[in-house]
Amino acid sequence: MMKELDEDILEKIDAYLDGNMSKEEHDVFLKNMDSDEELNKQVESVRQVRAGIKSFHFRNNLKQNSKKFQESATKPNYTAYLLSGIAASIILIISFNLVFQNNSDRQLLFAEYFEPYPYLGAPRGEANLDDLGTAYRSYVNRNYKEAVESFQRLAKEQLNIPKNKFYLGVSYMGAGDMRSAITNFESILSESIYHQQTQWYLGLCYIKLEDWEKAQYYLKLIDPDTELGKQAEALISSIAD
Amino acid sequence: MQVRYICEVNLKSMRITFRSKSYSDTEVLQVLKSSDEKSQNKVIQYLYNSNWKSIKSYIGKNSGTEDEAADLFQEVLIVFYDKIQQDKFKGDSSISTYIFSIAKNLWMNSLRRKNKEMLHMEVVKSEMDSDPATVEISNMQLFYSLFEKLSQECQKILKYAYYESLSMKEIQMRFEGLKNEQSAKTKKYRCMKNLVTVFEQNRVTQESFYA
Repeated sequence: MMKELDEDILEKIDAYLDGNMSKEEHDVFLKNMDSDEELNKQVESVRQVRAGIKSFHFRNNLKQNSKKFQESATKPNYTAYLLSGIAASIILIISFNLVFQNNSDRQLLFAEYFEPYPYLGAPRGEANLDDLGTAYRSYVNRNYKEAVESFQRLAKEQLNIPKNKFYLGVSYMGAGDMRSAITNFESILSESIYHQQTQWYLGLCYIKLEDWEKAQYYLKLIDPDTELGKQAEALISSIAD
Repeated sequence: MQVRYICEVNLKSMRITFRSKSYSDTEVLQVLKSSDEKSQNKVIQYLYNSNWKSIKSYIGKNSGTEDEAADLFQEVLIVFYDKIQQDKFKGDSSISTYIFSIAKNLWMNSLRRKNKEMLHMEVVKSEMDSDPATVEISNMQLFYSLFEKLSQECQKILKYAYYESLSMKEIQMRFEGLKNEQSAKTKKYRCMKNLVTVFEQNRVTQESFYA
């Protein structure tokens, strides 16, 4: 049986087990342990009791929370679900961005290819222009909103002239109103002297509206042997990429 | 179409796996040796997450119920915790392998004991009782009963000193009757001396019983 413990010895054993001894104290204590079997036993006993005290409270904590630990280990991992959800959202955003990026690339096609059809006969500088003169001057000056308003003020007969309707269509496009431009172009598609140009602009309108099928439909109508036809082919392949 | 293709490529290349916080074996040992109960609870949860299903399945396949598996798993963790406190876990195998082997031994002993009881055989010291984990459990249970016999004040002081690693100043401040650090230290070692003494006396008794 182990000799009864002295409280001073207990304090020293604690300091030894906690590593709170100076090097000198530690060396002396080890030397004592080498020569004193009783001290060895006491150190081992204190070590076990200290571990037992910790184990007692660890067990109490475990008992109190074991149901919770167990349930968490068997239940679906909501954190993982949440993180998966976040991941899915990130993927969705990335995908969305890719689509958007791709659409943006296509939108860039419009900006790249859209050029107002040249008009060389517009009057310049005159103070008292009629609506038609004002419309074409605004058109040449790329003031498309004003051009549209001026074209719209024309008498019906004057407005129905395919040439004027063609330029009104391009003005609508310049003003950003693709729907009105399409309606206007489609009304002159069969009779305009600007037949291929009308198809070209219709194609561009549908690109702007992201209606890729209709865009390709009109662009494919353009004669591939013409300069405009070659541009249309290049544009179609850009959409398909 | 290009858009779909790009998305598919990205989804395939993004191999994302999510797990609750995991710990290396070294981290598990460090946390369980510390006095930080919050961190310990996180590590215990991790140990449950990584070991509970396999142990429950093993017990289930070996005539045990889920409740028995739950009780056994608690015992396994207590034995494992105790091994760590006494620096007896050397890390020769992974923690999961170690935990599983403790569970297996404890359950096999429990089954043998059950069978003996069913056959009305006398439960005497046998090979099964000399299994280290089983002996450890029985020693711990003895210790717990002795600890519970200490005064409430002693239980608290020893808990603060050894489980929560509080300083003498902090312990003294938690007791109205302790005027200074020295009186806290005197009280602590008096309680510790009593506990070590009764533990040694009872341990000898137990050893004599089995001899």
